[in-house]
Amino acid sequence: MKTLLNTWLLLSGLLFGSMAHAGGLMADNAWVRAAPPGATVMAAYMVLHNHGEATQLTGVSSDAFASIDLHRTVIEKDMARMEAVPALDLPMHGMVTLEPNGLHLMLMNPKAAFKAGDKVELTLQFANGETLAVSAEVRAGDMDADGADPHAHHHHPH
Amino acid sequence: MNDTPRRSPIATFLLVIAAVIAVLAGMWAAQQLLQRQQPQPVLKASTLLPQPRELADFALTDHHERPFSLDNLRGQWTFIFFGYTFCPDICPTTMAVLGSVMKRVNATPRGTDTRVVFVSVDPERDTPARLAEYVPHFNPDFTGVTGADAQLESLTRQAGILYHRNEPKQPGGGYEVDHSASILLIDDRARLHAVFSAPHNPADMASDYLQLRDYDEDIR
Repeated sequence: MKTLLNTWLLLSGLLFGSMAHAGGLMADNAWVRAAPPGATVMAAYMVLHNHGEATQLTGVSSDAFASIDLHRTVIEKDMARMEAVPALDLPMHGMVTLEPNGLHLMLMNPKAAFKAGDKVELTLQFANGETLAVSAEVRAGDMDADGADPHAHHHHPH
Repeated sequence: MNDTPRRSPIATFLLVIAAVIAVLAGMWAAQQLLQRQQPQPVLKASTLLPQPRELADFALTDHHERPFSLDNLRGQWTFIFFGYTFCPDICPTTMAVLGSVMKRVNATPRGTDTRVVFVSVDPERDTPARLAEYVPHFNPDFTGVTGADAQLESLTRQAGILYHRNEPKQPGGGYEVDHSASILLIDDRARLHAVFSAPHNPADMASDYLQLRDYDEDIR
């Protein structure tokens, strides 16, 4: 009986380990791009799924960083700039992707040096009062020759 | 037995000469046209300048603290992009894109005379020492380059590149730099040859670059 329970827990852990969820909100494929030594900013990306009523991501915090802001890279007429996003709309039963050259979390002033393979623990706060703990994996952020992220876990919402 | 007018032998001779000249001229013209009209590559990710643009000299410094000037662009083909090390998203992403492009290029003979240069447009924070921490982390083969605004502008202005330092959000705090997203291709004669606009797809960029090299070889 115990072995069966352990096996089930192990399998669930493996299956759901890359995803975090609380209430109607889920995050998956959360990763942080490894930064050079001495870096004071790092970027985090993830896919946010909202299985409930519409709400907004209003804040992110982490013990590992002094502060975290949500930004969007905008490229217009060949100029790249960043826009602050104080609150990110998460539509009912919707999905929002934070990815390179788009929406990203700007993690400022890391309290330790991170290298590929480390985990960064983030806490996401939402307008509906929910919070979500997300464990983001630090990755080198290399692309394969076709520009795809070789580490991406492709999650298909049901 | 009608009488046909008879040309003089001289007229016939001149007509024949004229015909021969016309044919030869036609052949020469056709050859000229064919040479100049090698089929232009069909590019997916870049714009080929109608004529490569000669660049004027500039004086910047690389991340080894060595001078970096127009001379350093001669003899190989260079992808150049602009940014700053405090940039969390697009600059590291472009580093990864170019790393991916170079993986493909290095699998061909063109890898031996192709390289990547990152120009920081934030000289206040991006000293050569800072670039030496930053650039090799992404790729040990890439070169970081910086310089004072006056020197940066002597390169950016002639290449159609813009940048703008924003005010810090808090006094004495960090600030963001807006900058052109284009990746420039400089040829081995230090001329602006082509421009890769965002969004940057590494497979398309590599394929365009290899085609541009072949085309350049054909029309040299």
